[in-house]
Amino acid sequence: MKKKIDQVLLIDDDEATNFINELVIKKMNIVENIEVVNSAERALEYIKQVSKEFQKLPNLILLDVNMPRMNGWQFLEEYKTLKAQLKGQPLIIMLTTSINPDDRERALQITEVSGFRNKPLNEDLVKQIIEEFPQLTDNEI
Amino acid sequence: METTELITKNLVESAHDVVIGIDLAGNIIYCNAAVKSIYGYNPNDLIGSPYKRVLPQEKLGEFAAITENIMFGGTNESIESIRLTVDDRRIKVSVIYSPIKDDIGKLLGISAVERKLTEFRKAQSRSQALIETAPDAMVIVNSFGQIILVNVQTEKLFGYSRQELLGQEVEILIPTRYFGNHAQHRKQFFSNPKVRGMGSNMELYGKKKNGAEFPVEISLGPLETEEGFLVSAAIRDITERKYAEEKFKRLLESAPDAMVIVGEQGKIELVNGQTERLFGYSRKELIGKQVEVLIPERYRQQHPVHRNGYFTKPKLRPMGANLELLGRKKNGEEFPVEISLSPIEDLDKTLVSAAIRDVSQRRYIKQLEHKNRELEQFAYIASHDLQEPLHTINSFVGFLKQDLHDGSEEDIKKYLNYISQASARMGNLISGLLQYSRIGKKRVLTEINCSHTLKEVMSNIQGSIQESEAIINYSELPTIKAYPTEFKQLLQNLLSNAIKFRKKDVPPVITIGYQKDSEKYTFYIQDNGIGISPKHYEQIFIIFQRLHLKQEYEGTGIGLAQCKKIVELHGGKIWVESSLNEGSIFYFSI
Repeated sequence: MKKKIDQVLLIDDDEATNFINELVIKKMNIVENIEVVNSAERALEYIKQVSKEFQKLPNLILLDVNMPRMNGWQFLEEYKTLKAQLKGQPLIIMLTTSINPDDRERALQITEVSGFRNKPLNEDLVKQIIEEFPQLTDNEI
Repeated sequence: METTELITKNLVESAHDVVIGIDLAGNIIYCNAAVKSIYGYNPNDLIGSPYKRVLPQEKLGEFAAITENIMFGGTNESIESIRLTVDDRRIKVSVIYSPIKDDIGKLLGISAVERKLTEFRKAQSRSQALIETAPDAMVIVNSFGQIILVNVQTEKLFGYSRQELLGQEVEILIPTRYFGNHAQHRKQFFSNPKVRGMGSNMELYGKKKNGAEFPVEISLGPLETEEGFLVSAAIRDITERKYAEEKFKRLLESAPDAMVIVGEQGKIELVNGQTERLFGYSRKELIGKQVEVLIPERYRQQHPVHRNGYFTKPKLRPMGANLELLGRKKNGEEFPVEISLSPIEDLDKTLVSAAIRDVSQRRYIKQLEHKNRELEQFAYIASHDLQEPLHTINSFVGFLKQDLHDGSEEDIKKYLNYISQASARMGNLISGLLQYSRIGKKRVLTEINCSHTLKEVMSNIQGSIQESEAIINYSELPTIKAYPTEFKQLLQNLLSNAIKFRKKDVPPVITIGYQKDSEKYTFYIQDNGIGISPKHYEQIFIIFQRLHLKQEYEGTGIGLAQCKKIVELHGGKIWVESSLNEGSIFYFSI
């Protein structure tokens, strides 16, 4: 039996989306701890905080693309500058309703991004992610 | 007396010409010292020798004929002949033979006076020598129109020998069809002689002996001599130049662009057919005109400055890089052009060729392409924002299905709540998008009283004004020409924003006013709200771009994009001055 994912960070500005994502993951009962933030700024704060307190980074980050003020792309720019100081490398998957192929292209060119999925998040999508990235449930990161 | 004797004695001896006395048997019985300097012979060596010693083989017959002629009492003109020097070189001489007679007229012998010819075939005339050096064919004509002097170039050019031309009327050298006028022109020239080009602006032709015609350029000059008043004509064959010109013209015509050749003063010297078609002028109307006739009137004053600038440093380059250049047709219509300039070095002046390309079509295509790209992006972004609430509804409907029987009432209420919020949001987005895309449809510019419009807007949003306890200050606003529906939407969006983005627990205070400066009104709407960081000054006007979470400030991200589109429709600009927590001033100029 595979072990649970330690921690998932959900980043989305839409309250309803966050509610749905959290509920889907909770119902699957595969994650120990779900952290939800409603802006990219808060996500950065959270990551800085965790790393300062020598706690574990999230194993998986689901990142929305379109958000007010700082969007998913801008978050990634900031995240890159933080990366060197971080212990461990969370898996980042961008999650968007965008069907613009340019966005997918752009996402796949960023080394920090492991995947690009269309919303809404549902059970099947989470299962796919776990299958594609077995390290999430196999190993410590 | 002694001097006279000496002169007589040395007269012949000292002459520069060779003087030879020949007896009737053909032997040299006297020769002067010039045989040494010209033929290299010692006079004593020659005396007693036969005269034919200095003649080449082919001239023996000539001398025999002359001897015979003299014996029969004939006279001889000077002739050209050839002599052999002591070292067997051949030199050209002019010779005159005369009989030597005794006191009673009995023939004793023949004298030959021989002069070495210089490089000119005939050195007898200084003017001949002069005209031989001219690069052009030179023809000297007397007042009767007779040719009295020509040079080698004339012989070469027209194919006549000198003898054939001398004494002939000068019309022999021109095509028959010009005879009629030529004599007339010739007389006129003699009545007012001065140096000038002949038949300026006319195509002149010469005629060769074989009848072939060729284009020429002719300069005339008066010549006063002892023999009377003469005219010199310098004739230049311009076949090559004509050919080059033709080639150049053909090249010009084959160019895909309108080509305009301009001189230093900005005068049009040459245009091609494309220029006529593009600008609607005929060639005749353009040549000699200032090139500024082809540009819109409002640029004409400035243009000569640029033009002069170019002539001081002419090189191949596009004109007005990064500027939108406009051409002006004869009918006043303006159209966008692209222009390349390049200098043409002519003989004595610099010309500039301008290749002008009509780019209206290309510009139009570019605009369409740009619009298409915009639309595509717009469709992606719109579908993104529209799908989000749809996904939300979908997801919650899924939860509802699962939880309907065993879920708590509280959860189900929550789901339904999210569903109705998402539907409402969807509705807002759709109507916002529709409004946005309809901006500028069926528009008619109308005089509107802005104060009236503002009052209408305030009554539309009375609810939120009262709820927020907003204070709205405004002065009397002007009457302007605008699109009424759109202008009202603009004011309403800006005023709604000023109320919506207020600080918590601080009632909004909003001031609306305007400034007028040269033909333009700049309106402003100032608030005491939450303000905008300078880094977001541009972003806020882009559709669907929001700075706040929906639960903080509800909105679709369409309002300010609408405002921008409306202001631009009026040919104006919209911008913001603000900083975080310091309130904002939105400006728009119309």
